[in-house]
Formats: sequence, C-alpha cells, structure tokens
Amino acid sequence: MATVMRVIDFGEVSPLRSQTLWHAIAYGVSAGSPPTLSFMRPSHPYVSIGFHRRLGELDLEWCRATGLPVFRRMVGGGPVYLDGGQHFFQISVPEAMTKGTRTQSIRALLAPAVEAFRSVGIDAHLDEHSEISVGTAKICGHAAGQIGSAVVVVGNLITSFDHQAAARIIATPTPTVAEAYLRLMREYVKATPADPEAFRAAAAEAYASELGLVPEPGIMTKLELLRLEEIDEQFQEPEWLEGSPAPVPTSVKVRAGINLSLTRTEET
Amino acid sequence: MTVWRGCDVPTDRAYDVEGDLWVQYEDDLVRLGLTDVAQTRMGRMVTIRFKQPGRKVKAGGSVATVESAKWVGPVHTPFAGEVVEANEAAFIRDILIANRDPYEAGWISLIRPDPPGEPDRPLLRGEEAVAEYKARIESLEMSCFRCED
Repeated sequence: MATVMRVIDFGEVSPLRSQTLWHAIAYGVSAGSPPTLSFMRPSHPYVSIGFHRRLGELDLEWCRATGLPVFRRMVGGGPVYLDGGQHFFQISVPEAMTKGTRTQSIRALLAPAVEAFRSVGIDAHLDEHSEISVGTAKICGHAAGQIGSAVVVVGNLITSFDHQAAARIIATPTPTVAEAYLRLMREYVKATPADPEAFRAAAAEAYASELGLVPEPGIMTKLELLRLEEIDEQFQEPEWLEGSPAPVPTSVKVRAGINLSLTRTEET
Repeated sequence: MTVWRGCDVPTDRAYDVEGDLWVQYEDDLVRLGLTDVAQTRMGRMVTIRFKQPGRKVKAGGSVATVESAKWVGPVHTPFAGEVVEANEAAFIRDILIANRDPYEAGWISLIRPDPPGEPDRPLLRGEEAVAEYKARIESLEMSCFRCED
C-alpha cells in the first residue's frame, strides 16, 4: 500500500513532452511507482486530440499553416488548443485506489484540484457535468482514462486563454458556425489568472490529504524514462496521429452541456 | 444468476474478477465481455475501438478501448492468442449494447487462446466467483444499473 505521493514539477517542456511525460508517468504508476502528481506547461502552442476522435474534426490545414503540432493523447475528450498560458497538472494513481463508477472516480480526483483553485482565491466548484467552473464558465480543461492499470486525470490552471486560436483549430462548415463557436467559447471558457506556484503547492497539499499520502518531491524512474522515449516516438508516428475511423461528429463541444450543432447554424 | 447490489453475476460462465470480464469457453475459443460491474463503472459508452480479427494479443493486452464521457480505458484480455471475431457490428448498431445487455448481445471479442486452456491469471467460477464479486462490489462501494433508453 502506497504511503507516499510523488510530486514532480517538470516546469516548461516542449509540446510533445507536455503530453508524453505524463503518459510515461502513468505507465510507471501502473508498474508500481507511487501515486504521482505532476506539473508542466508547454513552451509553445499546439493541439491535442482525444484518443477516439477524428482528425477531421480539426482544421489541419490551418494547424499546419500556423505551425501548430498535433498530438493524439491516450485519454478521452475532444480536440483542444494548448499553450503556455495553461499550467497542466496530472494525478496518476493505481486503479485499485479508485472507487465506484468512472464518473465518481473523475469527480473524486478533481475535487482536490477544486480545493487548490479555491486556495488561490478562485471561487471554483465542480459542477453537475464534472467541469471545474466559476459560475457557468469552465475554468479547467480535463480528461481522464486508464493507462495500463493506472488511472490518470489531467487538468489545467488557465492563466490566459486565446479564445480565437482555440476556436480556429476546429473545422467548422461555415463562417457563421465558426463565429458562433467563438462567441460561445468566450462565454463559457474563462481564464483565472492566479499564481501557478501557489496553485501547485495547494494542489500537492490537497491531493496528498485526499489520498491519505505524504507528498514528496521525486524524479522519473529508469523504466519511465525508457517508456518516455517509446511514447515520444509513438506520438510522432503518422499512423498513431491518424487513429482509427470514428463517426463524423454532428456537433462541437464548447464545455460539457454546451454544444454547437455542425449541421445547423443555430445553437443547441 | 446471482444479483448483489443490483449487479448480475450469472453463474454459467467464468470470471476474471480483477479485469471485470466474463469468459465463456466455446470449443477451442473463448468469448469475452464486460461484466455488469464493468459496464456500470464505465457509464454510458460513447465510443469503442476493437482490435481486429487476425490480430495477436498478449495476456493482459487490450482487445478493445472504450470511451465514456472523457474517460478512455482498455478492455484487457487474460488470454494470449488471436482475435477471431470482434462484436463491432453490434456496437455500430447500438453503442449502448454493453450497457444494456453485457452478458449476451454486448459481448466484446472472440479469442483463440494460445496456449489453449486456462490463462495464467486464474478464472473463477460458480459460488467462488459470486463470493469474490460480492467482495469486489462492496470494496468499490457501488451498485449496478443498466441503460434502458
């Protein structure tokens, strides 16, 4: 039974590593590393797409033209624009530490993050859609999954958010839909400027307390470093990026509970 | 059929309790599916991606990947072998098929084990499986439910 929660702050890393590091950590936790809270932020903007999602949901031409790399992650959710104004956190725990349904596990593993937001003066709550929100606006993008036998929940403190860029990466059928999407995103996705260092400290305390573990600074194991190299390669393979055929979406999500139809021009 | 906190545990098959999978032997093949506990924990399925027939899998490897809400997770097989059939067509017709009928229409994969026989991770049957599942359901602090709509 684990007694320690490893805490690793990777600081600023490349876009690729801002994805592959935490995947490697999850594989490490699956193989016996202690539960781990990790932090990082990307040095440059990029796009990340969920495991099952169609690459065609993105305006790839735009991404290429503006030099935005695209990486497919192993956890859920849709395509997202990520940049240095987003300070990522990831909690990885053995699957055996989770209880109840997956939704309950996600909520349990987001609750300490909510506490951390509140510790740095943000009036955050976990809403009925399991989004960390202030009022009706989502303030934290999150995704979750099982990697090996580790459960990982990822999220971010958004100190600044480029709505224009985040909306522009999505393939939309008409300029009207694109404009509506941008407008909804401005309304329902908000940055919460706060001190990232204070947030990280509060998160470490809250997660350790929730999991009943002692937080200790740590480093990656040899196995995790080997896995990291493999995942670095995997994430750059065109076949991995392409993924498997998936249904064509009929709407695009702004935040949980707010979707914009791609087949009609009005909001749904 | 035994029901514990709403979770069905049919006694006509074997279980990989740790992996939340049921197993039915069919001559030299095994059919795998999610248990009621697995489908309840997952919640309403959004997407499933299957390892295709002809593909080899390792014991503990994944025969499918499922997504529910923002959760993505593997379906691990206790058997090494070859995928003979994937129940993809049923999920294309009804993505909630495993949420509605996990033990029959919502099966996941048909595998030809190699080596044949029992996997290294022991499967449980009958009352032994029921007892283990009761303990697991209690430890997970959950009750099961099915999708009806």
